[in-house]
Amino acid sequence: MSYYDEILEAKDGQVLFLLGNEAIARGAIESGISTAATYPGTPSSEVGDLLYAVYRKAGIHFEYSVNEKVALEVAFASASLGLRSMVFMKHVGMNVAADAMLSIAYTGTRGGLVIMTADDPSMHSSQNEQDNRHYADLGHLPMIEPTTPQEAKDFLQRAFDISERYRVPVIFRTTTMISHERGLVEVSHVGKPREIVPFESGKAEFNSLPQYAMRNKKLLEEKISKIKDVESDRFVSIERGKEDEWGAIASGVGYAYLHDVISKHGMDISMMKIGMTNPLPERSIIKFISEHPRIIIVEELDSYLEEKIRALCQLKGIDVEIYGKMNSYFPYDYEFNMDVVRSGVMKAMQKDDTHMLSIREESPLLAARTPVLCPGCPHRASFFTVKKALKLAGMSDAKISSDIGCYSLGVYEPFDMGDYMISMGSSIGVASGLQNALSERSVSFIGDSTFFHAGIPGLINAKLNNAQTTLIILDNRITAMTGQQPNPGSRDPQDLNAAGNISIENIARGIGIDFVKTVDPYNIGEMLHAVTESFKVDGPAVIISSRECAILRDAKEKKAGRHVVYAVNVEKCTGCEKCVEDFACPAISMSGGKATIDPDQCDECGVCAERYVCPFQAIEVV
Amino acid sequence: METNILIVGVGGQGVITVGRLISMAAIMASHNVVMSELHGLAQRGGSVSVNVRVGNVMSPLPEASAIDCVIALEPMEGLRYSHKTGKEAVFLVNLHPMTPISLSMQGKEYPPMPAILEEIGRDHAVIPIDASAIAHSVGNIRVSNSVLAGALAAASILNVSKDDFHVAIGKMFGSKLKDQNIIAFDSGYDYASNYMEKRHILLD
Repeated sequence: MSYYDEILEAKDGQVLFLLGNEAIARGAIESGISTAATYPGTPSSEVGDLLYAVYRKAGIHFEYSVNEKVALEVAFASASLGLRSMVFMKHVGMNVAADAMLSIAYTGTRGGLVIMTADDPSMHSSQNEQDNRHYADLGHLPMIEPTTPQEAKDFLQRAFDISERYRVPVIFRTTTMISHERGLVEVSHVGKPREIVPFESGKAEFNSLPQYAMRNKKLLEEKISKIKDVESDRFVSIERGKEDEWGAIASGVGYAYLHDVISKHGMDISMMKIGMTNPLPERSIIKFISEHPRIIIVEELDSYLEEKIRALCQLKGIDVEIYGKMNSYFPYDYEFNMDVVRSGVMKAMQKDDTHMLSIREESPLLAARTPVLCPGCPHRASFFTVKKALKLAGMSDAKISSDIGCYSLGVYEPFDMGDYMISMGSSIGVASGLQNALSERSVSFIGDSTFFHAGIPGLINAKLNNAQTTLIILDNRITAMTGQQPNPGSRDPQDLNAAGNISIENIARGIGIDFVKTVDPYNIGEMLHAVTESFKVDGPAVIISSRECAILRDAKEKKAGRHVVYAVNVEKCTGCEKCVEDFACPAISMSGGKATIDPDQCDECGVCAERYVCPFQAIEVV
Repeated sequence: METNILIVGVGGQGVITVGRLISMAAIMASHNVVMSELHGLAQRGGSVSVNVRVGNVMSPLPEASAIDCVIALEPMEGLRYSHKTGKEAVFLVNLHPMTPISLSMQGKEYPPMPAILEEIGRDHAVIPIDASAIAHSVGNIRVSNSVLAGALAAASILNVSKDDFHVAIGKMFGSKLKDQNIIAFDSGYDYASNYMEKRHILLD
């Protein structure tokens, strides 16, 4: 049985060692969901990885939607019929879904609808560290935040219960450390799906015309007010200290750091964990604060809880000393850890923090290891070739607009391709805008999945405005960066020519782009010719650099038992270093003045054997 | 009581697999375990780290000064954490270098291995082990992770028996891989035991 099958098949009472995201997926199955939809984004991706692996067996509809907004619309439709439905995404994905979400907040739902966001403090794999708790305020939506993998599963079920009971979508928020934390999780039995609730006309409920929205806004406020009264306090847990002077309030992973700091260092502080962060459990908070004259608030990113709690104290006339971000006891930036939390707590209590590790000087032998494109990655060949083409055309100064995906790494040396990288699909819009101002041809890069997600409107706009730009679509047939999920261009990663795949080339031609060429990036000569030609076009040109992701190809070659060994012929290698300088494959390095290939790392793509990479043709199949 | 193990290496080496194996073994020994996985941007080639915390803990991350052991699947990645961990941390270092692009691109070579070990050894007890070579001799480069788990078991940093590790290996790997991994684990265990005995390294 596969790992994911074991999670699906686990029986009531069994204890598994689950990733937070896997616990959430299991929780969804235990909740009896009928529909789950997502667009993959780290740190939320593993929820989908599990559901994608088991959805047929579990009897649910699961889909990788084209983007987060559509995913939410799909889940909402199912929920409007009374079926429990879930949508999940990374924090910036919620920006894409927000247009639909803020209306669905008003319409409400019939079946349980949970909208999960995985925030990424410290931006481990994101362009910003926006605090999505603000979306709960913006939408007037209830929000639940787990602290452990066990809670991730259990709270998700409670989120569905609340959503169904009050007919309102519920935001379920994690952060990287909750989603990517493994812990022991006791599972319960798999839930039964709900029946469709028939209704004659949905317009008063699900149509957001102003006349209906006016009414629904009032209904939403009533729902939230009831949830505050009845539900929010049920998500509170308190661990009391000995004396009643100090209290600390936290939620999410912040509570885990606080808990371990206090128990490890024997501090006398009462701890309050808040599991529902909108609407806040005001009764419990007021009681806790009234009992503790000094309150520490531990939360990552913005001062979301602190601002609300300070306002509450002002409103209720409670005299209390609060230690948080707003008076500089804790930072506003980046992910917390036990050291950050201990340091803040010690500062509040005016104690010396003697546990902080004094960071010693780092060794001069250390070299940076930035993320790199994998050995055999077709993007490396594409960047190598486009850089060469720009040089040949005398366009080395052309502005390069890149996009979100593995190929964002093209910004690093030696390729240096990414003057701009903003958001999903932004490459082409930015490139078109640049050209208007600079009147020079620009170049942009976008991946296949990102093109489908949000790139198509940009290309239509470029055509409409006759933008002088070459768009290189790096089509590796997969959503690679988040862990090899399928996308509209390749519905099945194991069968790239499956029926029903949507053709990028047809989309570009359908928009009316005259210059559309599909090339193989492993064939540097062919791609170089196409890119050079595209620079002479009047208006937008599209080059589809098509070659499956190296990780996919690697697995297939291994399975087929195909194996080629590339090595450097030391007789021919002159030690010119062109391969390592210009191609920068992790498998190639210099040793004793000659290039050498690490057979454990080599992906056997053979691109380095081309004369464009090694002019002396010293890299050979042995 | 808590025991904190930090596993570091290069994306694609199996850092997460090592973390899960150690966690499973600790669970077999009836300990509570919390593990955090730090996924970076790229699939392969960047720095990757995993924390395994064993004991009555809730936080997925330890205090930097409380790390008991660093398992480095790659020497320079071990060095990267040498100055960021307390001096009590014992370093198990796999002697399999992977040259970072930042060096190779400039035609620079990987620093000499003795120099790296000396730098780490300035602040920490170090157990160097050529896990990759041992794995090759077992016939599968991927089992180097179990070699390192064997070395960890020998260093008695965790209160987890050899048997618990064997059970965990059985749970994690299929039948063919299981046998290879057990041989690798035992080889790592024996190698580290001998090394510590010869060097009179005593870890409490």
